[in-house]
Amino acid sequence: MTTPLLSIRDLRVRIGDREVLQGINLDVPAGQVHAIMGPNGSGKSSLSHVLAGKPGYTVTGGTVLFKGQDLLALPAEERAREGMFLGFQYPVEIPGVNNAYLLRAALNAARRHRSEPEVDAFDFLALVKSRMQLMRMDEAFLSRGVNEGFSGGEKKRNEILQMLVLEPSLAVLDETDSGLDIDALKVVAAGIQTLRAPDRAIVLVTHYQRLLDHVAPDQVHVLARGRIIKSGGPELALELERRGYDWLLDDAA
Amino acid sequence: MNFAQRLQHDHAAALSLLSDAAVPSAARHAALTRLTELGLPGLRDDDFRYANLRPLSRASFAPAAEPAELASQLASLLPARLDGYTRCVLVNGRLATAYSDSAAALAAAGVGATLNDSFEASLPDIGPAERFDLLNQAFATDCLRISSAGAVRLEILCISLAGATDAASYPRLQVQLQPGADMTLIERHLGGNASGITVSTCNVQLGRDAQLQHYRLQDLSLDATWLDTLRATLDANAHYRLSLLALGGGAARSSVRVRLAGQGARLMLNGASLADGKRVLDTVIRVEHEGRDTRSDQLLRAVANEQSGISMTSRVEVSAVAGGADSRQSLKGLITAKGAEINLRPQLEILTDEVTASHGATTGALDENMLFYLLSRGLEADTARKLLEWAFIADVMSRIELPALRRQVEMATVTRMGNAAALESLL
Repeated sequence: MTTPLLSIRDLRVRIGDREVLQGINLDVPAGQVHAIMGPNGSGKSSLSHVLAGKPGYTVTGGTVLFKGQDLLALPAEERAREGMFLGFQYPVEIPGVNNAYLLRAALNAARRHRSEPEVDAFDFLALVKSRMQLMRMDEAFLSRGVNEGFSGGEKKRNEILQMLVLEPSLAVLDETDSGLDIDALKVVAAGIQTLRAPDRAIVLVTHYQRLLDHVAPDQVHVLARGRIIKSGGPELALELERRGYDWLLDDAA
Repeated sequence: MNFAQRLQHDHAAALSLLSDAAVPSAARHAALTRLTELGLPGLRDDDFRYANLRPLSRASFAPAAEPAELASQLASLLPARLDGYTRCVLVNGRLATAYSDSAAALAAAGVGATLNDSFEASLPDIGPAERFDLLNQAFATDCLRISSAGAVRLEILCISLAGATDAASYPRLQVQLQPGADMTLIERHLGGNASGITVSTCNVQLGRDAQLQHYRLQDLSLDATWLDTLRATLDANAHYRLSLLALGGGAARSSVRVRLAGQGARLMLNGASLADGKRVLDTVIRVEHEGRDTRSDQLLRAVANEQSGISMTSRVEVSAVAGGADSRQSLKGLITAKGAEINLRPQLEILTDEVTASHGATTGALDENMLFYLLSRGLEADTARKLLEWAFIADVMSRIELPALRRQVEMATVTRMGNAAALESLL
């Protein structure tokens, strides 16, 4: 078996005195989509944040290998340039920083990292516009501040747009489906599907089955109380939808 | 010698340079007397609590002579021409005809006009906070008088150049807009490696229904001292749009005082101060609502890096007869380093019930969530920080309505911020 794209071993993380991740083990091979589900407060967002390098979390044990290298040793910006993408649950508004500027700066940062030439303004615009069409976003969004005045759904679409332009090798999407109506969910799901490829992996952090109706996962994991308490195939998500989490929590306790 | 003695001494020594045409000698002496009475502001003087006046303790007040070798220094300081703007260049406070447009062009823009008698009398008083205007009156070597009744676009470049000694320069502008006149005035204070004192004065009178769009940019060198006073009076329904951008100077103090004298007069003031190193930038604004239904909007932003200090005081006074007044003040500061300091002071004094007023002042560090968002997209940490600093003053920049000027100002700003290469594609 080839090395997984992402390999997490016994990851333990604290926020202050609280241990929010209590020994996570997870392998995500290239070409696969994994879903991480679980009740509120189970550590799903903490796991996403730690993978992306958000400050405020203390790793007390374990390892995370991304493409075979120690992910936790890299600052957040280098993780991104290595091909790690976090789709935020709550994308932040940054008035005064232009959406298109950020996208182009992000794309060129990654390209420089790979020793590829930077994209010029013309090619960049063509690329972004084609991706915006896919996400059914108005081109006017380009000239606005990052997420400034966007509705919840528009912010999530913008996250997926960024992902489609950056084409990361690993996308961790933190509750990208929350707050979306049915039509927006379909658009976002179609965007995610576009990124599926043999050399990439996607981790969907979600509460609900409904996104998984559109983006079929290869593996489903249940995260509860800082641990992965069950893993299975797509059928596990359906069972969770039917039965909730309590039966698993009782088993695990 | 103490302050008063130095004033007298330097003034007596400079007499041959101080023409009656610039400021009548009686007025010069009156200013000198009043300034001597007021003295240098002390440490407990609230109007100057945050200003750095140390350079004054040893400075010579004698006006700079015209530097002999202008051309080589000037060339690198003059910004590109703006289409449709008449250019007027002052070097060390004196009109430099060789670098300005022709006398006919200047006259067409109203430069060199005689002002109405009402001019001086209409201006706001010179209070203790505006006392350095007295220094300008006493020592000004020239006075640029501008009067216009029509539509004028004028650019005034006040250049401070290093001479043999660190002498002072005294640019002095008087701007009178006749009723209904419409002017865009760009006023820039620039300097190369000049370390002397620049004491600038700009007096403005807007007649009834007149409109003035006034951009003031200060981008002097790190060791320069700038003591600036702007006084303005607005008649009925006059509209004054004022941008104050302070990027340079080691010790800069700008005192702004605006009288909204006529009914319906309106001031829109946008200001940004950006400092690095050990610069100390101090702005004190006083707006006096005197007419009915007057309005003032102020948007002030400060970004303090390294060990710099920025202060912005904005005092709004609404008199008992200024019913229907509307005043808004928004002051925000961003501190990016432990040694940096920002002091924002919005002040409001209202003597009538019939008024709408709002004010807010907040100072904070860079938003960690915004920073992480940018980093998570692969931006360099330094670029991400600079980008957020830029975003902080973007509101003020975006209100520069003239695209060519906005671009010049933006370039000057990113150059001051460092990392210009990474930010240039912003523009």
